[in-house]
Amino acid sequence: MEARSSSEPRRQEIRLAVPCDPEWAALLRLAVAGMAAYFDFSTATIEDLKLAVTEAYRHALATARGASGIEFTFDVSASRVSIAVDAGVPRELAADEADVSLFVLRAIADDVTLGSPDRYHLAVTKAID
Amino acid sequence: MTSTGSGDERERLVLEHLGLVRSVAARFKYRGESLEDLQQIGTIGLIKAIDRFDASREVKLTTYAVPFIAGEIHHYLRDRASVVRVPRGLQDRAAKTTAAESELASELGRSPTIGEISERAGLTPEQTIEAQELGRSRRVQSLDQASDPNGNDAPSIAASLGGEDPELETFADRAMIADAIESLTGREKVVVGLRFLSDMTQSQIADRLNCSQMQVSRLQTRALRKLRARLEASTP
Repeated sequence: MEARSSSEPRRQEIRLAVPCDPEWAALLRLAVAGMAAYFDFSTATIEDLKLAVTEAYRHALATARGASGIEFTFDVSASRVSIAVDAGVPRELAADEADVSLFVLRAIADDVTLGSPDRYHLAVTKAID
Repeated sequence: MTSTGSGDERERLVLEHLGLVRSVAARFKYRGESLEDLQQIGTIGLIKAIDRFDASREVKLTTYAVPFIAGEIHHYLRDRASVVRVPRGLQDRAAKTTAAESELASELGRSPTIGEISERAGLTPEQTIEAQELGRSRRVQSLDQASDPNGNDAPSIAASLGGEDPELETFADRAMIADAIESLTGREKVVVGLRFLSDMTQSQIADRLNCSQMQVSRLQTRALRKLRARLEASTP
């Protein structure tokens, strides 16, 4: 990321690939908190973003079985955060665990989109107040 | 004073209510302890409840005993949780950030930013983020541990509510409820949904949201208060 200037930080895209192991959720949460702090979001927003990235990861782990890793692309600006999750394998039919994750994501985010079952893709967007 | 009388009577009551202990202990089965241990601890709570129960009050022993059983298990888990220690420095920073966040939220009337918390707590933004994320962790846990919220032993909604919301069941109109739910914040929706649709306990929800059971309880209370107000306003 570029050094901060006195003006509002400009939009950034950050990519992160993590193994298929839930222990790595902590890294995702720290990363998203760092991005949000860079944009000076409130702690309430940061907590929502940390929950969103954790649930998106849970969803991928539950339905993108056989993936060698999960790739996260964060598109962050002062007014909006989008998280795209890709796994490079087909998406399996939803399990109960994945349903719960989607429920949580839809409650805290403004838009949640699942790609076609042929290749796992999940997109989550949250507007920043 | 109590209804328990002789030791034989107390033993009979304990045996009669072991099913209740199993039911309450099942709420905590994702906390990393064996269900058998939790049932044994819960039985201690049941015995305390039986010893203190006053039959002249119009309260059933089962209703009276649930908080004792759950409380005993909570204390046990809290003591056990301290075995996994967060480094002292991180604990101190977590305490500082929590205090600063609380003070600033009160002063500013809004959720403070990391920069504001860091300045108040005398920490770098990185230390604040780390303290918020890791300093509050109560124990190491795999995400998979909370993956089966609909276990067979899960208590009924009525049993786990403990009477805190007796009026909710009378609101039968799902459309009205759906409309009322839209008035909740995202986190309030999550708590209500996981609590009443997925039948998760407050402890399981706290694990899922990476917050304390007390915070979940507060969110649930606030959400139910909002729902009740909204539903009462729309009921002729």
